Amino acid sequence: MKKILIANRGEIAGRVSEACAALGITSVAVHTEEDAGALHVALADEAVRLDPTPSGTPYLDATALIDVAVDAGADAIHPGYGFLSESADFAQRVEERGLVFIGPRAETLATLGDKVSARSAAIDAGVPVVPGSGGPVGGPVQVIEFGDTHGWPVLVKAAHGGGGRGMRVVRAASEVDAAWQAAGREALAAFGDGTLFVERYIESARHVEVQVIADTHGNVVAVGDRDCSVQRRHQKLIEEAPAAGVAPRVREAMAEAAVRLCRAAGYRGVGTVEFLLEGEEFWFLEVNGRIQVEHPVTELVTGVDLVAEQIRIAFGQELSITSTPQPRGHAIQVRVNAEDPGRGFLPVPGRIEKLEVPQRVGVRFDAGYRGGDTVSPRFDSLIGKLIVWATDRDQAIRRLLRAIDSTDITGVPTTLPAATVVLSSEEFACSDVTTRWFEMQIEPGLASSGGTSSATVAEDGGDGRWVEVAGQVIRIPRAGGIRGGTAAQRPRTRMNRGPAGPGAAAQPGEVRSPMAGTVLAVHVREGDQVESGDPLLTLEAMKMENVVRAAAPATVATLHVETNAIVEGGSLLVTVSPRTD
Amino acid sequence: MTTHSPTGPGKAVAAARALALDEARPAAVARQHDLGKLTARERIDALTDSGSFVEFGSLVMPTRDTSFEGEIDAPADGVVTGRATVDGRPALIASFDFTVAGGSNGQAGSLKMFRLVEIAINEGTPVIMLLDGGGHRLQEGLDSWHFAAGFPLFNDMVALSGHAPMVSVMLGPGFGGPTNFAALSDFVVMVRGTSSMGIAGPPLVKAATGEILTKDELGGADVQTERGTAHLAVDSELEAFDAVRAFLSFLPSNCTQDAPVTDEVQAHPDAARIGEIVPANTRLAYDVREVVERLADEHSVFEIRPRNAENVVTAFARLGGRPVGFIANQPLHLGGALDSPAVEKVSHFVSVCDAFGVALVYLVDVPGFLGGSAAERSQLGRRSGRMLFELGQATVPRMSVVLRKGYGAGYIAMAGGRSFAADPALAWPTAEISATSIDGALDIAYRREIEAAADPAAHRRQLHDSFAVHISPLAAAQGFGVDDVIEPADTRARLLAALARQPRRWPARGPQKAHAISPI
Repeated sequence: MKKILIANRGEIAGRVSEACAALGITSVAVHTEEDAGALHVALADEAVRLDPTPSGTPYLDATALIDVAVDAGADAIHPGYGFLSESADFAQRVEERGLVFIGPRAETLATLGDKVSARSAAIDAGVPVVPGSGGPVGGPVQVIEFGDTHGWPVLVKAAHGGGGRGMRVVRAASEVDAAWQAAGREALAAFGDGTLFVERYIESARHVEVQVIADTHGNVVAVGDRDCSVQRRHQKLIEEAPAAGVAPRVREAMAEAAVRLCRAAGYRGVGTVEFLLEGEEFWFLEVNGRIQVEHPVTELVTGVDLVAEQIRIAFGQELSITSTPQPRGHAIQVRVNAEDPGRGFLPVPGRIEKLEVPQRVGVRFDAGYRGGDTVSPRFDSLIGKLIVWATDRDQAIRRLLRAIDSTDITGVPTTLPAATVVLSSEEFACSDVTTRWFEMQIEPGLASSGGTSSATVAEDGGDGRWVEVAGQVIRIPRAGGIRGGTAAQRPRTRMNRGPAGPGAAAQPGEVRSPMAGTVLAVHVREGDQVESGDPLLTLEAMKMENVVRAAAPATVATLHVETNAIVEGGSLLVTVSPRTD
Repeated sequence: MTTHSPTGPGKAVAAARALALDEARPAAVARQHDLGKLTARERIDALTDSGSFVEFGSLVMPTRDTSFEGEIDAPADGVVTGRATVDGRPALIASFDFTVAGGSNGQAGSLKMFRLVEIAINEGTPVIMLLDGGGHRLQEGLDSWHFAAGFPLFNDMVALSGHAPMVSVMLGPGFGGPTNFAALSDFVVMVRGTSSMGIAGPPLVKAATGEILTKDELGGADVQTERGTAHLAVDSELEAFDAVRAFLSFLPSNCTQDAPVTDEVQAHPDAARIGEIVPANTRLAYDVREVVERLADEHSVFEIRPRNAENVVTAFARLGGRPVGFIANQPLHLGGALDSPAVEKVSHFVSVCDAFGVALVYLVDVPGFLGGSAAERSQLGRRSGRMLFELGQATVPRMSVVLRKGYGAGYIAMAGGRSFAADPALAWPTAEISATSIDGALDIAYRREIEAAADPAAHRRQLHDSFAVHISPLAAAQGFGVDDVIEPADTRARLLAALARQPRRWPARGPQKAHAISPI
């Protein structure tokens, strides 16, 4: 194996180039015209420019990327993290062209990518999942039995639900009757079906995950665990390894469970098995079949180069380790995003004027940008990852605080002030935080303590302030005359044009009704391939027709309605699987 | 800066003041956090500009001379009051403390509320109420000696209404008293999951009617915003505060001032392609919010009551940096027909805009008022009059653009043509303005004639064509019902120019009176 094409940009593309260099492999970067001078291009041995695509970004254009890889004489494609890394379709197409996909097998991605099949794979492998009825529940009596067996509180939810409708948290047996009636009525009204499921409701858990590596020779090893409980709206902000304060037998049980699941799934490559951990109980969340943003903390405490390992596995070599290494010291990573914590973490793309990170003992910076680069509004706002290692956790926290203090980034606000607040807090020092902690305890303080560097940018730029309310991004002018502000500082999102009704926000792959009405015509059949803008069906209400169209190229998976069906605003009409070609 | 350590009596004051702070009440604070809520003081910090809050009444204790003789831990008597700035502009804040007797209004706390509204009236300052629990404190209220005096706050709130904005944020259980506060507010935000509101809570409802309902079913954020009781449902307290900031950013501090204007203006990136949205075929629906978005300054659109009466869209926005209120028929729902909820939504919105000098922009694509027994049961015949009423008594500039259908009384209520002296009154080339649709007219007035014809279908077609030639935007302009027919892409420039040249208010019209009488 001589050459790898890296189908990504930003810090992870640079990270893969570094691993290639260490292994003596030639790396090929891809880039758009505006990214020609980007850091990830400079770090690679070769670079290929991608042509613009009519819609979407060339970085996700599977066909073009595979063609480029073949033309460049690459043996393999590394997808980094993100959409392509988890696309079974992409993995399969790469292999069909005779290239190696650096990641799990397409079938594994398909199984683990689907929540339902991943859960049943976990159950089959004897991995604890959040207890649930797994099917319809007969009545309140069964709910009480369930709660008494699996513990309170429990969540009663509509079988066909979503968006919080037909869903009730029940804290004790005495509340079951009322909650059952309410959820059932709501489910019936909202989804036309009052069938209810019940599951254990996990209120305040930590997010702990196990890094696994598996080769094609049947070896599966847990490399170590990480705690990623500091999150905001499911986005991880700070990650560390090993997970602190976890009893050795719990740690071992989680590692064993992760290995068991990966072995049963025939896993290949590096992957992460995510768990919720409460006390000494843990439950399976999901498997991420890719290298993760937080992988460096594991590297620093184990000495395993996970990206190099990933490449070696893809090329058929055996794992470089045979058992879980004893972690050495402690590592913590903060994600440095071009976002303003004082303004609800709004992405603030723009030119980074200065980016200086101290080069000191125990400090690593995985950079996606350099000073002078521009963070584009079209891509994620990760400027880089600041990671420290120290002999124990307390020292790591202090070292990281000191490193943040010496980091100088100007031109765009960053999330570092928020990280400082977290790292300085007593709760974090006691590793006593759960996944809701940041939103509940830290974020409110950030909104008011706007005097951090980020807010200064907003003020100095005369840019007014941005808020995001009910899906609408609104600029609030400052009192007393407003000047300046550049287009580059504008956030990305727009007024929410989602379909009507709470909880009706469409998940990827779902097409929901924008209005209440009657299905006048269905224009597609299951299995049809549709292009962006193709009509799927026509609804009619008040003698007014509304054509519901495909938002992106896709394959029609399931039709949930037929002609003459009466639908509510927000009803699920069609499920589609996105196509990347 | 030096800090002074008080001595003597000052020390006692400082100690008493410290007792009201969160730091002195860790157990109460923890209880509140466990409920997924911020404390009254944390909320003020999150909403207001850093360091700007100046409290009054922090030393207040529960009133003494009530029949209730128990001890109650009630620092500041359950409501934190004071002044602050929000985005650099003054505001008066009342933050109810759920950890004190469930946020209930005691006698002493009520004195603080009277004071707050009194200051607002005297200074012309917006009032923001952060409501969490409450109602009359039963320990004190079960005593005619006290309760017979009633509660003069609402009288004062009505005096303030229309002079300075009033906003309510529902942050916890809000049945009863808090809902009364909200009812007199210009804008009400609810937080999903933790807040509820309504005239009476589940226990009272169960006692009165036997209905067994949860707080969420009876008055949760989603149901109450769908009904229009509240204006907006959001997912977190912080988002609720941002909603308040967004709302206030479109309004002056009081009606004697101009609404804040910004000179940093950027058109929507797709502004030039606004003409692509509205299909000429009146049977095809589209999302009128896209029209609003492309007309308005980029990132300025703030939809009010997005989940209530979705057949009409009401949104604050800016045009050339000046705040305006958009009222737009929404063909996606009920074909854009106006029903009672829509009438109330528009009427209240127009009233708020007019009170605070915000010009109105009507985007017309209306098949008319909704007919049917449900409409009649909802008194649409009477209620529809309020749309005419609010527009008729408004003195702010108003503009109208007929995008497509302008039928019947709906067209008039949407400020079409000369109905309410819209300036400018414009129509797009897709406009179809008429007393009713041709088909509707044929069904009503020509049914017998068509039935009697030798070939009814052909006769109907012939009649249809004979009318159709007269229904055109050109005819509308030739008769001077509208000022001009313009290309969609030119609309923004026309509205910007009109807004720039018009005064904040037109001269008041009509003879002397105490006030006009609303139909409802």
